[in-house]
Amino acid sequence: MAVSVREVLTKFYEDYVSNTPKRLKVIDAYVFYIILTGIIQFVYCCLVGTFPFNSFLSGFISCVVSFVLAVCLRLQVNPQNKSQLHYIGSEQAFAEFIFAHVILHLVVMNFIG
Amino acid sequence: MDRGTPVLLLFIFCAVGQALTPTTYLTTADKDRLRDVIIRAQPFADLATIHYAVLGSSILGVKIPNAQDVCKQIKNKADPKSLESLYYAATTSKTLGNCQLSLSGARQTLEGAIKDEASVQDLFYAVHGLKNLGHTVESAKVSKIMTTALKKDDSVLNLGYAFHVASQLQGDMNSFFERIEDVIVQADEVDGKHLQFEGGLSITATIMSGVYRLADAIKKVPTVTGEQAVKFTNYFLSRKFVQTAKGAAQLLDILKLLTVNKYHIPVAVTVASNSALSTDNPVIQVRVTNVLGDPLGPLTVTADTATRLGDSAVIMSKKAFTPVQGDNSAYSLNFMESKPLRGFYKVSVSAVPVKPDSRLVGNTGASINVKVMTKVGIEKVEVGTVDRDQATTPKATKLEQGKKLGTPLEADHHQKLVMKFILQDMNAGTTMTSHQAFVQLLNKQTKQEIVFVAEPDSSSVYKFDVDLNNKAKDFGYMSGDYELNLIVGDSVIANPVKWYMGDLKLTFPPNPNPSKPSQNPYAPKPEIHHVFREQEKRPSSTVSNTFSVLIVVPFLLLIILWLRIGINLSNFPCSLSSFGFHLGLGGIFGLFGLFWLQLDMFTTLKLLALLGTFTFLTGHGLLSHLAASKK
Repeated sequence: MAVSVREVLTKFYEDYVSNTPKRLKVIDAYVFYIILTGIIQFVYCCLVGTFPFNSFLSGFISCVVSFVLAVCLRLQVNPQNKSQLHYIGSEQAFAEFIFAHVILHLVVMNFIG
Repeated sequence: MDRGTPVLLLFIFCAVGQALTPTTYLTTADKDRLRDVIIRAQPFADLATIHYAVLGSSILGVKIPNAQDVCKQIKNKADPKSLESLYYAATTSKTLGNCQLSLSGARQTLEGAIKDEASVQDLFYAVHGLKNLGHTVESAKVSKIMTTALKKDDSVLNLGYAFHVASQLQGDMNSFFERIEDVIVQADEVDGKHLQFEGGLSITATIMSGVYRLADAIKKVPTVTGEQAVKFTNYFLSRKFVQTAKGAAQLLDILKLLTVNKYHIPVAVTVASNSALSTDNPVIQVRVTNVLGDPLGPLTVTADTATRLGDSAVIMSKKAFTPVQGDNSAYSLNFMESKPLRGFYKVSVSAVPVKPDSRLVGNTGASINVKVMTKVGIEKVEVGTVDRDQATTPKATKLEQGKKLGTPLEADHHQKLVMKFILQDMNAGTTMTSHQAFVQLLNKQTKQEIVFVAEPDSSSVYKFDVDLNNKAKDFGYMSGDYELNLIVGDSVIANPVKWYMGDLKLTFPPNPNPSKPSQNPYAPKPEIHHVFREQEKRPSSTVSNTFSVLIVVPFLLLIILWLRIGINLSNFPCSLSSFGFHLGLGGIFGLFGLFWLQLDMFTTLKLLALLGTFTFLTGHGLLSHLAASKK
């Protein structure tokens, strides 16, 4: 069982490394980074407490939203989705991504206290 | 009922006793006060005031100051056209004497008033005015007019004026005299003691003086009973504190009449000495006078009965008072001769003239209150302590009155302080009880007094005990030296006692709730400082720092991953828009950093608008360039 899982994972990793465009890998690394940051914040909150609560909320929510935005960006620039999202260029997607971040961080900074 | 009956009897007794005779008379002080009232009426406002002031002072036998001045005032103020004014002027100048009035037209005015349809009051003014000016009056004519006037209006006041007028007339006045009975029955009785007419002192005095003047004039006994006369007298005497010259003069007039008329002379029996009697002061003195305080000639004064209040025991009957030398209105009696028991007595006194005089009324059954006091002795005194659980027999010390405990008595909170004594009536030689029997404990240091009541048992033995444990609170848990005092007093005890019996050394348990030191309510309260909300507990700096570092780790990981993936920066276009875009983006995030640290929202939004526009333009340029180069 363990062997097959490892095999599946190895196969999956190899597939990912070979088949995924470099651009998407960059985004994936970014997503992974956001997930880790969110997890660390969550662990901190569980271990120590939510004080200061608004700072925790803004930090954690900024992670969640950044994750969502990054995944959206990834969906939009993924060549496999071209058929469904053909009307959105990757540059446009990136511009929207940047714009959304500007708005997001304005709110986050306002809320962070 | 058992308790109520004696009280009720007592009440009836009091009421009857007082109704029978005046209980006061016009003393010298009262006369002085009335004289002051009259003198204070100056400067006179009008003729009526002058009239009453002159009348009052003449009855009091006081010369009115500045008689000639007053005479001048009368002349100035008299109005020959006014009936009332002429009446006042005429009577006053007559009373003053030595004040001749020459008022032209006065006689015409007065005589003109005696006509048909004249009111009784006008007739009163006219007749008195004419008489006092020395003119004659047609009695028959006046009498006829007055009879007609009374048929129209026979109010009590009109009848009162009619009596006055009739007393001045000649001829048969019996028709008016017969009206006296009608008038008297209209008087109101108050408390069974007073008789008065509605309207007060002025009307009552006018009517009664009319009654006696008319009776004197036609020499017939008025149809007023002696008892009614006494009740009217009581009413007049109750008004002796009048404050107006008119009231004072009318009061003096009627009281004077009640001492000189031929029919009723009320007798006032009053106590003239201290009515609290004891073996040291055994004599009760009474004063028997008329209502103006003048003696009534030789009298035989007898104490008919002396009754003790409370148990109605009669201790004396038919005991004669002896006249006091040098005072012909005072009579005395040695009340203590019959060895009365302590208490309050009501003595019924009769004063019968040596020469029979039917004029005297209210001279029998006059009641005076006498108090017989006794000396008290405190005997069979025992002071001691006993254990609270009664396990041991009491340790008691016998004491004689006036002595002191040899050694201080010690007691602690496991013990009771006990005391026993009896009160002895030294006169009667029996035990007695008193209203007040207190045991006072005085803390020698704080001078705080704690007073307990000693209660007698059924055999009049006073027993007192104080449980030092239960009563410790009353003592404020203050152990220490105390003075023991016994206080005995009563209204019938002539020698109230405060006996310093000795010292105590008391030990109390500690105070279970020590009282807080009392605060001065006027002292400033402690200042209230603003308290910020307490800070939430913060994690230790190690933990926070660790996590601060930890949060950076994924970023390093990101860089490493990106390097491993191999970021291609070669495609970076070296154009102005590319630099501008990245600079703008960096600027925006820098601005956000500043916003977090110091800026407010408005400044931030303004700057963001600038930076955003710039970044948008450059970003648009860059991205369209990229898009174009991709194709």
